[in-house]
Amino acid sequence: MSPISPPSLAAVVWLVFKKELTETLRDRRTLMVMILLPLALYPLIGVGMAQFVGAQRQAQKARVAQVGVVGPAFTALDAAITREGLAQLHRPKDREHAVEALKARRVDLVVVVPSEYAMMLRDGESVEVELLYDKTVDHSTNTLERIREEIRALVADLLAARQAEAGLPPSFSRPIVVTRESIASPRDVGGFVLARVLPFLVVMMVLLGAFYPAIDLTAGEKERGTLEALLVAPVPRLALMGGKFLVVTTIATFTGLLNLGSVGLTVALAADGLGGKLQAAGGLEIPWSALAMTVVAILPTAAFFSAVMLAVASLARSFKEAQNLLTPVYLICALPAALAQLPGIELGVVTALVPGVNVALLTRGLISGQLHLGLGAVTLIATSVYALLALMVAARVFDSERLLFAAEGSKGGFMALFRRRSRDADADADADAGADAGAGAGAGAGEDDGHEVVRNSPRLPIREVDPGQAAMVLMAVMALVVLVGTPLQSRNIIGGLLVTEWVLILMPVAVLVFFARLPVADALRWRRPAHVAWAGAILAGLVGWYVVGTLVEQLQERFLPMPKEMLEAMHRALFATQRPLALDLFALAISPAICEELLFRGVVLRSSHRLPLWAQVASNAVLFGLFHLSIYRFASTAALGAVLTLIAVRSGSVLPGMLFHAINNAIAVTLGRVLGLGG
Amino acid sequence: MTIEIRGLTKRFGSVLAVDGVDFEVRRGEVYGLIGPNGAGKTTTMRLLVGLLRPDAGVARIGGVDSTRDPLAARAQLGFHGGSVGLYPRLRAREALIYQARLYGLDAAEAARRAEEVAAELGAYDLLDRRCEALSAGQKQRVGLARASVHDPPVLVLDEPTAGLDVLASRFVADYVRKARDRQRAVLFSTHYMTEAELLCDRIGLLHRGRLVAEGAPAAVKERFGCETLEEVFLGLAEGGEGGEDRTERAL
Repeated sequence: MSPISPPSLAAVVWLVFKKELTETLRDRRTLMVMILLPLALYPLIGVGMAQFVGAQRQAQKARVAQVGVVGPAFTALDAAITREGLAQLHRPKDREHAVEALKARRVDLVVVVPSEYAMMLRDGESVEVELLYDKTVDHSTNTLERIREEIRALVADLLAARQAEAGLPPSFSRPIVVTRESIASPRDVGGFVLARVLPFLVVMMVLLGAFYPAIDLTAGEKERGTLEALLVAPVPRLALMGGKFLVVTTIATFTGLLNLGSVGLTVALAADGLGGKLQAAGGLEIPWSALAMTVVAILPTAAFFSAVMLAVASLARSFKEAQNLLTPVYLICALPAALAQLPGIELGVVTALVPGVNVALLTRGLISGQLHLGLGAVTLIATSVYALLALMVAARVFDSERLLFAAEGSKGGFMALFRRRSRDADADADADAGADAGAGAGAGAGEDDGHEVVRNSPRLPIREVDPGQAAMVLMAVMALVVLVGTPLQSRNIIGGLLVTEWVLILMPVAVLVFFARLPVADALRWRRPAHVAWAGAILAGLVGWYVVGTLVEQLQERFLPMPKEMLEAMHRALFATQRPLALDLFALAISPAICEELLFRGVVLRSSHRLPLWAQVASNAVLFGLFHLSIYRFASTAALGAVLTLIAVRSGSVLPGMLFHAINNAIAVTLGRVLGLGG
Repeated sequence: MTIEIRGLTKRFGSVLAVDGVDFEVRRGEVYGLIGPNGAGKTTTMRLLVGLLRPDAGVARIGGVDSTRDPLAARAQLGFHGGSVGLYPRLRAREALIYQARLYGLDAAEAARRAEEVAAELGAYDLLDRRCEALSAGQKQRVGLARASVHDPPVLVLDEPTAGLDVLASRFVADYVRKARDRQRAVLFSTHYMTEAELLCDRIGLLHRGRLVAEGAPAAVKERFGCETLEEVFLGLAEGGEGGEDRTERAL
């Protein structure tokens, strides 16, 4: 028997790191994402873009514009139009014929010259030259721009001639000459552009790099049955998780670096290919030192997101389950990066403490060279604390017996960890049934050693909304609202809103329920609540608008006031008095109440019903706030979302929330009219 | 006493998976935990090695409580089971060395031990193959090698022969005997009766989470009035009142 003394913590971390890295680097999937994708992707995109642009430009140049001139021959003008042989002249009989030719696309542009132009020129009058073009035809618009340039040059010549004739100095027609110069060097401009784009790219790439290793090292280990042997070893959990964390961070960092390198290389090649035109035209230069600073920022970014992904992946029992869990997390993590791109958001005392946002802003600060060192330090410390917290959670959850052997236990399911004692017996029964169904489907490795399968009375498995499905629906709705709904609403507010609610929001929900064959009553909480819930909803609805209208909007006004023009425009659109009130109430109160409740308090909330109450409320409120697509309305809509979530969870039904929502909106609409906010 | 289990109890929801189990395993002894599927064998072992926390009772390894001081208890332990997997993308040698180093062996010693245990288990030729390329029997050999690469005083083997053919099973049996000869304490679970009869010094019969009989295989057979352990086992596995009656009588 050899004397066994457990290795030191650092030794275990290092040991696990080496082993996991070896294994990860032998995984083709990880290598693909980490190395091949960035190396191939950007150059391909870059080359493709360059070729496309080049081909377009070539095509533009090769084409000789066809210009129809109506009216007497104006030699100087004709010469300007046909300069360098870029255009060919046609002489249609009259304006009518010319327009016909333009419509038939026989000519790209029509120039109408007044018949007495020569006299007008001589008398020092203005000659009105009319240019007819077709805005829907690219060639026509391009020709218009070019010919206008030529005419401008001609005007300058004619003016100079007139002044000379009158014996005036050339400065006569230019009482003020404006010159401008940006004190930002081309390098600064390049840094500015990169500072906007790169943080987002870095976060996305780091997330992508961390995704598979985080799953492989946690849920993958459970699925392959290797975890038991590892957990029986005489080493602390945190040390195991530390080693795994270092591997995921390393892979994520390298993925980020390779992506960055690949982007840099592509940009450099593209800039080279354009023969320095980039510098001359846009005054933009790639600041290589800024790119180097990004490298520095990658490490904390990778560390933070790796820890988060490890913690979440530790909750899953199988690879597939982990993928389902991490996909929404991936999207949520991308959010702070997107936020950091917004103008006006800078690294400050508060933002330096917001996880995710702070590292993205740190990256931005490093690139633009405008980083406050103290805030940078705060960011790093805060990020380290968050990462450590995430790791501790991961280590704790990792060997939670409920997760380890959940497939065999009676109360399975990764969310068993979060199961709360619910007042809502109905919902609890659903959760149990769902967990049992999940244990059956997700067991995988656990299936063959289920000696201790002990189950309560078997229940029929109930199919429920999983977070991945909810995320898909939500994203589809958001995309539809942004791409279709918003433009429609700007044309016709009421019609646009009706289409948005009943088609763009309700349709994805219906598609999900239909194709996933979800039971409507369960997936959407479409069931009859207790009578008292109705009463509560009415009461809350009557009071809610006041709370939102006074408290929340007061705070909003104080910290992030909506620009006055925007507010007025919104009021004009919503509270116009020329429409029948009934129509407005239907479009602005009843429709959103029904459709938005089914989406948010139905599908979205249903998918999160195993989270603790506060997390359900918080996530639903944030998503509901984001859904309204306005930072100025975020606070009020999120507050509304929080109340609506509470109502739905407490009553176990989506219906009281609908009533509340309708009452709340109806009061706002009516009040807005009465107060004459519509102008 | 190297393994000591007293009043061990584990509840999953409303079901008692392990119900007040007592037994011990001495140095140089092979103790077999026998019982039908769902009897509580695996749960008992997981409680012993500290993968699960007991609701009541204690499990000690070399006198150390595996709940109170899990690291010290685990340090004396080699664990393997039919359901325990190997890292697919590691070579057998790397897997063995990794395990040895987790138990505190230095690099040179770990490398030496990896070759030594692999040779003992007839897995020497497998050392440089990836674990994912091994057959079920080969995996089990490497798994057993991994359990003993740090030469622990206590071996806990959860159905190590499940799903193995006769030839592979014999390797496992040889391995268990050698361990006994070297004064290791071996806790072993199986539902192959012949194997248990041949291999174990003492057996404990688990039924519905309770230890219903214990002793040398011959003594247990006698007490249940059966010709073979298989009959005893069948009586229990058929369950119901018949099994209970026999148990009552035997006790």
